[in-house]
Amino acid sequence: MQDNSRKAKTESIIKKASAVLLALALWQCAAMLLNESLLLVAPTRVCVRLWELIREEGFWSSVFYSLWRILLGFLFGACAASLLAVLSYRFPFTETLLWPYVMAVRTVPVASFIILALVLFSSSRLSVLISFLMVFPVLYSAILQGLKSTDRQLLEMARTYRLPWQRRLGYIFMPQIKPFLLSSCTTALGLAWKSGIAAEVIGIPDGSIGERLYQAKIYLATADLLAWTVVIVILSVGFEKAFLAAIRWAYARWEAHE
Amino acid sequence: MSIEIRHLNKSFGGKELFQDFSYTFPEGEASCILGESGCGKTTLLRMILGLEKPDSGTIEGVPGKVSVLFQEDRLCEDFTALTNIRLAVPSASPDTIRQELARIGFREGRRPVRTLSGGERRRVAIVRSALYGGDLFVLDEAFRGLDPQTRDEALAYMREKTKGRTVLVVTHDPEEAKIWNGPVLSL
Repeated sequence: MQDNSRKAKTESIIKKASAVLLALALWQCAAMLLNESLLLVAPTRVCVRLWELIREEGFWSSVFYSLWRILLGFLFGACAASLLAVLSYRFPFTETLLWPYVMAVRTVPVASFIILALVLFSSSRLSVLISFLMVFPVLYSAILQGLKSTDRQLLEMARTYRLPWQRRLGYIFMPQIKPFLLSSCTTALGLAWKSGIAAEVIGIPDGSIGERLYQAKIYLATADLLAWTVVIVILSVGFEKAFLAAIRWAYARWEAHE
Repeated sequence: MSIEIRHLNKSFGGKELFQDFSYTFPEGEASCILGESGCGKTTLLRMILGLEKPDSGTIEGVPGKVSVLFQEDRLCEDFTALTNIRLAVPSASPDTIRQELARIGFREGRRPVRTLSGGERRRVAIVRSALYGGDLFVLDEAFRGLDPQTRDEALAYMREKTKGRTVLVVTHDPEEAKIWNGPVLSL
């Protein structure tokens, strides 16, 4: 059964890789037919430009500048969401009190928050705040939903066997929220990167990836624009995979202990 | 201390299950509660355990530490049998737990309980309840789903573990009630 699952996974990876290669081939053909590098740069040119950028001074400092701030926003958001979700589960009036804020963050366009935040904060902290704001409602709602769907029978068992809260948390609630946590972290990490970079493009803090994207737009450097976009995609997907793998590993270790 | 139920009234889903019901479960004996499905056996246990409130009436003498073997196994699916038992009984050593499980024919194999058969899961729940101890044991259809031989082994094991304690056994099997050899409440 495990072999079948591995085979299906390998097949899925091969199919997806083929689709990516086909998309790149189509992009290359379209760029060659159009023959206008300002409008559509060929993927080969983007790769060359990316290689040049990596060797340029300031590339890694820009990467770490944005990476650090966006991840900080994500981690703040994750901590606040976990804490407030537990509070809302324990004291339902907290959920009611938080409802207007959660709804506001969900429905107000991110650009409005960015501009409002620029009035109040320096642009260097903007991506932290915006990532936090985008991540918080997604994780908060998912964790709260996970807690609410906890098996009532297990909770009764915990009550009759007088389990202390630490053991209820580790053995009943944490396994319960696992699927909710994994799926919401995927969404939240993607949102953190998208909104964080958007905030940097609008706020233009010195030395950020957003600033590099803004400069590429000003100078109509399409190859730079796409090369930096590739960097963002790699960082976003890479961090998402690493973070989810870390959560799965932590869960596996916890479930295997005796 | 005996468990005294006085003038209990309880309706469930529009059906009156208990009307001015009074009964005393004697201390240190295994009392069986017999009856057809839906007659209120489990509801009575849940009220004794404080998991459900009676509409009126009182239940007195329920001790603080109660070991419950629910109808369902109620195990934490992702964890091993050992972890599930130690969750309720942290003082029990892994060796003790393995020995107790082996006594009712289950060899613990470090697998999550979600991968165990129904009978194996039931035995994990039985050992958890037996090792937890307590002043009162509540067994709700405890041996359902076990094959006859395992059922007899598990029943003998539980009788030994609860000797001299107050036990409330819910069953629909008169033969099981006879084996417990205590007062029988027919609902």
